Amino acid sequence: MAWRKWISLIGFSLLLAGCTANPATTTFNTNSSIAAEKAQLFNILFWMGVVVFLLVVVLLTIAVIRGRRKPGDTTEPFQNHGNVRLEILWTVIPILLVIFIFFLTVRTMNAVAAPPRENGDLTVRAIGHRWFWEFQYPDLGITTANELHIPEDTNVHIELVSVDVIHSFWVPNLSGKIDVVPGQQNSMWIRADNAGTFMGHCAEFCGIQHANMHFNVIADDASTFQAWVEGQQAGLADSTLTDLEAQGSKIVTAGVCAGCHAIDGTNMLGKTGPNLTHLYSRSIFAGGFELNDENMKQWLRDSGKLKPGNLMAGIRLPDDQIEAVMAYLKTLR
Amino acid sequence: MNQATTRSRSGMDSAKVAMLVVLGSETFFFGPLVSAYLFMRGMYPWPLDGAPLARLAVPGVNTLILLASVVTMWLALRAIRSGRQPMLARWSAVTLLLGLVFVAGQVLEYTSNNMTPSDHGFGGVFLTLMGFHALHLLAGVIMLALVFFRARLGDFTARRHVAVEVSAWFWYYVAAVWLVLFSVLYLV
Amino acid sequence: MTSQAGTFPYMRRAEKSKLLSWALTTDHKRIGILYLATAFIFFLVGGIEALLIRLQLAQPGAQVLGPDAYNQVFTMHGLTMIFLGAMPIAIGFANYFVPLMIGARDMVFPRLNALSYWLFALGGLFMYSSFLLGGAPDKGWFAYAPMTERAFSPGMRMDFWSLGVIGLAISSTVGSINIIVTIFQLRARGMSITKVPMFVWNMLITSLIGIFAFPSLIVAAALLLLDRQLGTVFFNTAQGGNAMLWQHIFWFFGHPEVYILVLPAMGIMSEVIPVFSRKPLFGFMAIAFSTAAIGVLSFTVWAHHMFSTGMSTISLLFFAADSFLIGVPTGVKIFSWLATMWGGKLRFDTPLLFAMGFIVMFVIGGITGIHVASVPVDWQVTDTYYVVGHFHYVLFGGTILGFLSGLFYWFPKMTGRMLSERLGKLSFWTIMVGMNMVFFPMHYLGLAGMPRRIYTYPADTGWAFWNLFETVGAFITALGFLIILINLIVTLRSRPTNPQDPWDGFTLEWTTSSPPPAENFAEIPAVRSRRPLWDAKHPDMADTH
Repeated sequence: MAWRKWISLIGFSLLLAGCTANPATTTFNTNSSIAAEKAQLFNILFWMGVVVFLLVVVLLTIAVIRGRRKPGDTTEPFQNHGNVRLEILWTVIPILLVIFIFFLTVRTMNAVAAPPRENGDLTVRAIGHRWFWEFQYPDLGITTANELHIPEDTNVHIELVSVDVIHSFWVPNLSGKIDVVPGQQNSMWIRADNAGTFMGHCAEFCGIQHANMHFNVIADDASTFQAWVEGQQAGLADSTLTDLEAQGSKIVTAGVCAGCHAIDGTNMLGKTGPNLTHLYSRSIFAGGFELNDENMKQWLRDSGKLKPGNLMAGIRLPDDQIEAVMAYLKTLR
Repeated sequence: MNQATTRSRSGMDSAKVAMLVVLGSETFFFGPLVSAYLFMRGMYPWPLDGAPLARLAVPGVNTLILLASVVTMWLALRAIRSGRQPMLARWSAVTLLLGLVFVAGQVLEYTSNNMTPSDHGFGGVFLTLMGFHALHLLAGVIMLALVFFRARLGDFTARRHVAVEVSAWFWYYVAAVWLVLFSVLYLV
Repeated sequence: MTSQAGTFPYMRRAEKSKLLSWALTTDHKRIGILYLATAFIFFLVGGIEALLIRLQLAQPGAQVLGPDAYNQVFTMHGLTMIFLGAMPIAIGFANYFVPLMIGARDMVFPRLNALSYWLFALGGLFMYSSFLLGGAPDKGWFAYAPMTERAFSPGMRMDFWSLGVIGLAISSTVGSINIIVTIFQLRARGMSITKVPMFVWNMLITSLIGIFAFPSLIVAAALLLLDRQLGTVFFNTAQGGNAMLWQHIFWFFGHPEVYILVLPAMGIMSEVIPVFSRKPLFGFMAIAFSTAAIGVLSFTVWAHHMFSTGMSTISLLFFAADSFLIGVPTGVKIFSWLATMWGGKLRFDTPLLFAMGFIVMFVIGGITGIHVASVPVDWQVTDTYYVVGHFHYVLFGGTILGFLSGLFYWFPKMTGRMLSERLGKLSFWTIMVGMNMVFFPMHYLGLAGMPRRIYTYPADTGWAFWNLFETVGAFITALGFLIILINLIVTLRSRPTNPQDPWDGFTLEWTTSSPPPAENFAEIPAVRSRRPLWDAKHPDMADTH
């Protein structure tokens, strides 16, 4: 029976080797020392596990081969009740292994512990909502959602806040996860060694749309990041609205949208939903949907179809308003 | 409780062994409850902190009543151990009544605190600790009522009275739990 | 067949009705069968829920279940398998075989026994009735607050969870008390506590864990119910409650629960492997102590389910070290079983096949258990499919395979009929292929970033292939259980051969007829060693201790 285990084991090793194929989200293709340390610890524990597993399978296989009964043999084998020396051996060796693993664990925990805050570090507040992530940059005066921009090669300290239930902030390529617990101040740190886009997820089950609570971490080189910051800090130029856009603006700012959403420079100050000020500077929305015309149209028409149970699901725009609203939203860059 | 329990390997009546197991289990019921209370106390100011002595009047008297019931329970047990069934009936009735007085006192104490369950974390804690304890005490009262009626019917002898023994154990245990609750709620 | 003895005396007249006689039975064998049959039905329902989950996840963006139905189904899958499947199956085996193996005529409290069965059956039906009354619980089996509070879970779903779980926990507590007192009180003459069969010892430890763990669950569920119905604020974070309080109370029960689920199966292993290796259990006392050690340690590791909640470093280290330690007694068991087989003359009947499957599969679950106990690794893999893979290797690869081994081993004793060996072996290989196809890729998916409890996932994540692969594996596994079901039905319809001792067993249950008569034994045998029946058959090779 062992061969099947062998095959799955070899398959697993191939998986491990071949996992670089998809960089979108994985704990192996690391882009930070934090995730790399964890992956390295996992690799050591994985191969230790393989050795233990093979030991058991080999012993079992030998026992099975040796234990095959010859045809016609009805005698009983030697009755062996135990062996104290062996029993001590297979108690002590695991204890030593466990101590070794504990040592490795402590070493890695030290290696990934949050470094003290220094000048040049970035502080971000990640706020878990049902079901999207809001990101605030207290030092930069920026509030955005679904996409977290960070400069590459910089330590980013993240304060984790929940406005409702428990969420968990996780960017597999960059770091492990820490839960976002209402009423509790948790924090973590991440860094991206190189520029790139990394998918993040809410990892703690948080209700009906837990599955659609992804976000992107976009690590940029210093100048690109600076440009993004300036773009976000700049106000919206509303003098140039076309008729259609102005019509959309009226629908949005005078309608129910203001109850939940905020747009800087307007009367919209809602806090429940994502801040829309620079909506069209983002590439995803609503916890992971690509921000394109088709999705946005569907969202405005009946967001419950795209994301059943989301908190905006009861609000549906009539078809004749959608075009104007879309036109206005697209000015929010 | 089943009086006619089977022969036993432990040399103890099965009902007694079962009661010991039950009390062990109960300890892991009150343990998390008390821990939950202490956990919350570590985070928020406890409204009864620095309670004046007068604050302790009702719970203090109540505690004394419960301790008195422990003594009467013991007297009931001692009576049947020497085969005096009428004394057993009398003392178990007294114990039972003291238990009811205690529960009434608990209700008085709870309502006089002006705490509703939803006021803040502690309203709920107070209700839960005292409520679950009172429920246990009422279970003890039912056991004692059964003891009382069976004593009146002449069910017990000096050698056969395991129901009295286990009821007494339960009663002592519930009283001991109250001492713990009293200490953590009012004294510490 | 089974006698009518043991029903309520005043119901004698009603015994003409067979159904009623089963409903009112207090006979431990009948209650055992009721437990096993009811739990098996719930187990099949839980399996169907698993298939629904796998269908929904087979493709990115699949529309088999909506998110609402998916959340109910995965929650009920967990609740069913734990509370209505695995645990009652263990209690069912214990009900039937603990008295037989210790030479007793019944459980010590037969009527209490009936009570715990009915609490379980009605509790299960109550839980499932929620599907018709506004929906089943949908917040996961561990029901994390504050999501379960009224603000986020209006309706009655979580009230069903609370009340159902309280009922089932009381049922299991009552059952555990009965098992403990039975083992303490009713052992045959000469059977000291160190000479009980290992299955009995494991059920003793399991039940002791149970009576100390279930109250914590009752506390958690009761406080949640008070929060929801009376407006207390224990877990209501918006009004001063605390979300961590829930996790501490719940996991103080929740981790011991894992051992409640796996120790009975380990007990079955320790019966099956010696009999089919024709040798005594290697290192009996070491296994007994390791079981007890697991029992004690299980109460000190609960917070390893909470490594990512922002605990202090010192707590992280304590709970990690403690969790690693559990690997040691577990390893002792594995190696002792291997040593039992070593030098034996093996008979590869279906019970031993499932037992060998247990060893290999459980080792995988144990190794990945060490992985997730290592805090930095856990920060990456907790709440992902890695954990799902891990605990399915423990609970399916361990518990379920152990129960199947026990089913094939003890079925002749319970029914007087031998299950088909051919179908048995076929089901074994089918399940082995299927389960590894379902559960092994889960480790990879977790490492590849797939969170657990998501009803759908984007196509560009690269998770689709292995999810489809797992779904195929799930149906192969289901096929294996279908074969078992057919085996059961065909065998039950066949003429009984009433083999008293088909496996040439070692322990007392094989000294009586199959199925055993009322009150089990004509005469309670005296016991001198751990293998009384072996001694009787082999006076020249009798156990010395």
